[in-house]
Amino acid sequence: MKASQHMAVESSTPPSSRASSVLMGRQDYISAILRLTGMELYKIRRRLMSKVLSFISVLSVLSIFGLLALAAFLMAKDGTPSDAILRFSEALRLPGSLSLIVQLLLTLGQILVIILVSTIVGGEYTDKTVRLMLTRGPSRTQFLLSKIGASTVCIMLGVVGIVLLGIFTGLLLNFTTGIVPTFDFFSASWLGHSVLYLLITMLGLLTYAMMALFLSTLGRATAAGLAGVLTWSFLIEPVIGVVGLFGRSISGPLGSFFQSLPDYLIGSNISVLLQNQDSYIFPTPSAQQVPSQSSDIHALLVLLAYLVVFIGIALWVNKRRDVLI
Amino acid sequence: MADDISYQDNENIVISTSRLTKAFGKLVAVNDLHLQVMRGDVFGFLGPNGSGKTTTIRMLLGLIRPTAGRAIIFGMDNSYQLPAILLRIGAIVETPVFYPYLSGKDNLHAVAAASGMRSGSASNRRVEEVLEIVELGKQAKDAFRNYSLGMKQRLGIGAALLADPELVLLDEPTNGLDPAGQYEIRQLIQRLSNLGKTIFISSHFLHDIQQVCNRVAILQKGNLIKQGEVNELLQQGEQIIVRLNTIGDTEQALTLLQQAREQGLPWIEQANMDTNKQNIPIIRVGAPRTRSAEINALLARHNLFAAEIRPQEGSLEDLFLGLTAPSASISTPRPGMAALARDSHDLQIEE
Repeated sequence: MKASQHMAVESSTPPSSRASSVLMGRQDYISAILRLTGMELYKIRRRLMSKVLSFISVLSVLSIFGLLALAAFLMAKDGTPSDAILRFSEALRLPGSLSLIVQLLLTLGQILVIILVSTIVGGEYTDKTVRLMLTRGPSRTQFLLSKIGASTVCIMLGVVGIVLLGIFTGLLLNFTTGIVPTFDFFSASWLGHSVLYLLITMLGLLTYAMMALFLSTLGRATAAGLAGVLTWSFLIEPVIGVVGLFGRSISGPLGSFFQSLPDYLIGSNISVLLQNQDSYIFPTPSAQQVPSQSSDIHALLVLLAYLVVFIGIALWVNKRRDVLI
Repeated sequence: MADDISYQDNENIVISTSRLTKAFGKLVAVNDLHLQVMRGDVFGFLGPNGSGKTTTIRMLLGLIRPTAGRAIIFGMDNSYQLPAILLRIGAIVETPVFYPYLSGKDNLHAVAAASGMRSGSASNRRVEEVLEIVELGKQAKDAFRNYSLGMKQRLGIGAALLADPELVLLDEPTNGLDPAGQYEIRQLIQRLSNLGKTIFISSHFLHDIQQVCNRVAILQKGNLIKQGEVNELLQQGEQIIVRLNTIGDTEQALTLLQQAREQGLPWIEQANMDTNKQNIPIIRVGAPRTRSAEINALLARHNLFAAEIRPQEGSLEDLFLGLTAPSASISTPRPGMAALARDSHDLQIEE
């Protein structure tokens, strides 16, 4: 077969020239992926759904910080002891606000990312546009890689945008508490760990996004990705967490097995990575801000394994199967 | 393998399939298909619903993998060099599909990016050009979801032409278009053909195919039953209609023509009695149109004087129905079609 392939290459007919108005771009593998990624981002920008998701994100940030500020304001008005107001103020300003925003990103943000990625992947099957795209030149692998690229860009921009919005909104609303913000905590090390903290958040969102991409590809529908990942992250992971706790009450290998299960979940490994950064970012660690017993390496390897499995199977399935729609 | 090499050596062969087969479980959708489309051809691909036309087009475009056989396009095997092949093809597969939330213009920009064209404003001029060609300039900014079926079809053709491809694959391009739209598409195909493009068109509109195509292939139940030049096929379907004034004369003339055929006039394929639209008996003679005068002379020598002798062109519709009707091989009342059905494989291009 290789011989015939070689022959086909040798005897391929040269392409004829195109109309002068047809300006072809660079045709190398990476350029094609970048061009497709740009197209995906353009499509996302033009969708009503992405505008609605952005609106929900912004509204959520404003609401949460608004509610905190309102509560602090009402307490100050009632003459509540300053300790309680101080706690609200800490949540409104850095570094406390960073933790609040990240928690928001890993709950509501996660749902929005899952909706977005399931739609941009499953929508190609629902609208049958996969047929359009796969008959234009890009390979199936390039097509899916451009989706991954667009998802990654959306997650990065979304996290950075929401974090900046949250920080500035919190600082602004902090004035209602009457407590002047200080930046004693700020140092190069703090900035580095905060960046790492956000990168971990992005990695967490990306892992769930890739699960959505995988399930949407497998199920050829938006609903497959959406329902699958939401079920996994909000039902199966908590259940496995409970099974892990249950394992503590059982002795022997079965108990050890049950206990170890939560160590291999996406959510718990993201928590481990975040928890291991807490002590560097938050000057007065609470009980939950004590470093985790699990190592960063373990958590990163587990998340990497998930990414390899999700992306690998999605690429394989996408490459192998017939497009019959 | 030697066959494949000979396909590839000929630069004029744009598409060549060799034993192309697709089975879905026990259902064989396309069976052992050998097709050849030459550079500059306007190639009609005909067949009843479910005959395997769209499956073949999907295999050519790499949307589905063949169970057996291979397709060579521009001398490249589409199993290995699909991206390079697709950059030279524009295609519509079934009803054109686009992103419903994007405008027609934005959809073409998306297609341009996927087709390897420069993205953004660099492809603006070409997008505008194509929108004008398919007469969607005024609706360019409307969302695709609001387009009528005809507009969707035109946008599909626009997308197929966007990168100025060498080969245009059109699956039912006139579906949903009114007669004026169908006429425009025929004109467009003619213009593309004049520009040297190779066009592969599948359609149920046999009249359209007959008007624009120079070569056709007919599929039935996944099998290729006919492939050849349209002119040659139509010549085989030609008839001469003979009407005489009385039924007695008509019967006598029929006997005479049948005897003449048996006794040495090989150009008379068949002669059958039939009735015209006014229910008047006529004789359908399966013979080239140029033989009308000879038939007239033959009858006159036996004192049979025709009230009407009318040559009738063969049509793809007759050919198609003759070949694909369930009873085509058993009962062939139309002499021209009987001849075609009998030697239906004569024009197939051999490996």
